[in-house]
Amino acid sequence: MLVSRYPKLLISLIVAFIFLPSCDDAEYQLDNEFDPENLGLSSPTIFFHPPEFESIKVGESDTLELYCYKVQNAAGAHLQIEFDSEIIQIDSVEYGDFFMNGINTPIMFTDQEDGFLNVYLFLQPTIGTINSSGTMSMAKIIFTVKDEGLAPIRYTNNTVLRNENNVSVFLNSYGEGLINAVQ
Amino acid sequence: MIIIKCALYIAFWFVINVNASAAEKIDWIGGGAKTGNRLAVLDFSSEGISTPLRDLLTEQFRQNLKKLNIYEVLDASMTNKVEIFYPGESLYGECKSKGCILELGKLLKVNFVVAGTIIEKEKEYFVKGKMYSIDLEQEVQGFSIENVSAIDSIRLEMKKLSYNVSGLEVPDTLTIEASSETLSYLNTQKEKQKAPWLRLPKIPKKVKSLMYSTFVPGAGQVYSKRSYTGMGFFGTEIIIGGLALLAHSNYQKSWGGFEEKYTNYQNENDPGKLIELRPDIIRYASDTKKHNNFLKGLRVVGASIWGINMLHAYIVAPDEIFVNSGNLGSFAESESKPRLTTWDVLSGFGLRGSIVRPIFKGNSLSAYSPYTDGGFLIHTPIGLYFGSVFTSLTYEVSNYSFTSSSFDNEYEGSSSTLALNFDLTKKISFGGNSLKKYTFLGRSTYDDGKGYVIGGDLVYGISTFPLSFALSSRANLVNTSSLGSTMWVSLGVNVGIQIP
Repeated sequence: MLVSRYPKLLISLIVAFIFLPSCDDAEYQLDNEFDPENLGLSSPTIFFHPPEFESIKVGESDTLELYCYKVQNAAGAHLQIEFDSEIIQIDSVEYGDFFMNGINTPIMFTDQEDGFLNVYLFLQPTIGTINSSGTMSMAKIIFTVKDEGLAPIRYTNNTVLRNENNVSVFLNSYGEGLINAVQ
Repeated sequence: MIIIKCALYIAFWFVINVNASAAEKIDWIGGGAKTGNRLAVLDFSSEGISTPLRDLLTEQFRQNLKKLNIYEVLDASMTNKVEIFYPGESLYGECKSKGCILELGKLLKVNFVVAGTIIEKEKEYFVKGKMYSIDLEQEVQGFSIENVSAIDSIRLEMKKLSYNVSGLEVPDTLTIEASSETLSYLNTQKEKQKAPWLRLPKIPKKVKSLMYSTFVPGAGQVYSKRSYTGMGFFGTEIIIGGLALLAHSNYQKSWGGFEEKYTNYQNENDPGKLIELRPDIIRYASDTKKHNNFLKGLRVVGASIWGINMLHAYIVAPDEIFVNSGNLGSFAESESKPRLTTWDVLSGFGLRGSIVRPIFKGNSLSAYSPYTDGGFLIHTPIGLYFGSVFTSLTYEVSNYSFTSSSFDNEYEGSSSTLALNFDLTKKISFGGNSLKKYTFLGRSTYDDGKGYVIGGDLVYGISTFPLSFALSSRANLVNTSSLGSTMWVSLGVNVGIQIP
């Protein structure tokens, strides 16, 4: 009989049934401060990451990323950033992952003048991929703090993303950044 | 505190012993027991001989004893008027054990009971029997007749036996052809010595049965000779336990995924990755909740069945004595006109709650993993006979849910099926009539399409309770708007009640 042949199995099943621990429901809060959903933005848009540097000492360097948020079908971008050139100095600009196309790096060139930084990015298309979508870093700005003070940083109205047909990609209001430089 | 406990213990011991002594009805005069002389001869049990022959031999033995005028022998009609269902008998309703015989003797209000067996083996007859004193609550005499080769001889031997049982000398006119012996039991003192010095209160059979089923579902039913029902309860709890383990395993898997993703989310500072982690966390959490709800449901179902099993064990367990002395009824009852009641109208309807899990799925669902879901089935008595196959109308509602391995996509909903249920019990002998065999064919409406359901049920109904347990299978052939044509096959268990 089953009962006598497999007593241990049956007893374990019964015990497991009786004493099966009460399981917890998964409780969570998606409150990560870097989560774009928590930045008060409405997609698709672009923003700075991190949006705020609470205190950077004069003379120190850091990295600010230019991020796109749920952008669809972008093939190129002109990102014009306005910053306080008396407080911060742009050292260099590197491309991010958004316009990477497999092994092909994006074409990028930059210029800056009187507190305006222009970053031009172009995806190199392949047979399979002609544009890019998602939430990713488009470029990284390495900057150095020259003087103390609050330095707001924002995208100007000249900023534009375009698809492979050179049509503007719709973006909602852009995110803004703030750098607090201290002695 | 210790003194109080000791005092209570002594008082308890005293009460038990006083009660035990009071239960015995013997007047001990001059060292011997003096009791009445009413005697009942129970129908001998038999092996190898026909029931009429057995009855004849028993009756002749009874008449012989009566003629000897030593005992006041109860007639067969009086003796057989009382039926007793005593727990522990190898056959339900039989009365062979000492406990049963003593209880029966008390019911018949006799002082002695004779019970025995007549066996035919290779054309030789053997008789074995015992005489019990109801007042002494013990066996007082044993007898046996062996190797009697002819039926006339056995009749003669049993006549001789009646003399022995009556304590009379066998007259010389009776020829002795077989070896027979009568054993006098002088072990009254021995049995007295064996009696335990402390008697614990006797637990009623119903309570015993309830206790057994409380600890192991179905054990009380087995104790009460309802083995199949007991195994049904036990099996159902095992199936529910197995499903619970399965669901718990799925829960743990989801919980592990949730914990990993949520920890990553909390520690991550890349907005792109955070956006990717969000839906995973939500899906894992939802999945975890789903499994947990299923587990809670199983616990409720399992506990309910456990409770029903306990109640059932209590109901079906025999009373201390179950007496059926026959009720001839009254003319008033026999003349009353039958009335159609609500119960009569609802008779034949049934409701079954089920747990189903897809075990096989078509190509469209090959990238999906199934979940265990629930449903219910309403069984109606509305139907027709096609030969011996009764075909009834059935309505079934069943949930289904599948998710892709990455939790990106889900396919879920519920189906409602109007079906014909073909009762093939009379066509398929397997399992007998207590195991109903059904095939199921119906038209279904799904959340995003329509289709057909075919399947089968094996339903075990408990005879003493309007409860049934079933194993079911269903093949769903669906034309959906999201996946196109697809199919899946589910296996399930269900528990139901039916209006008798």
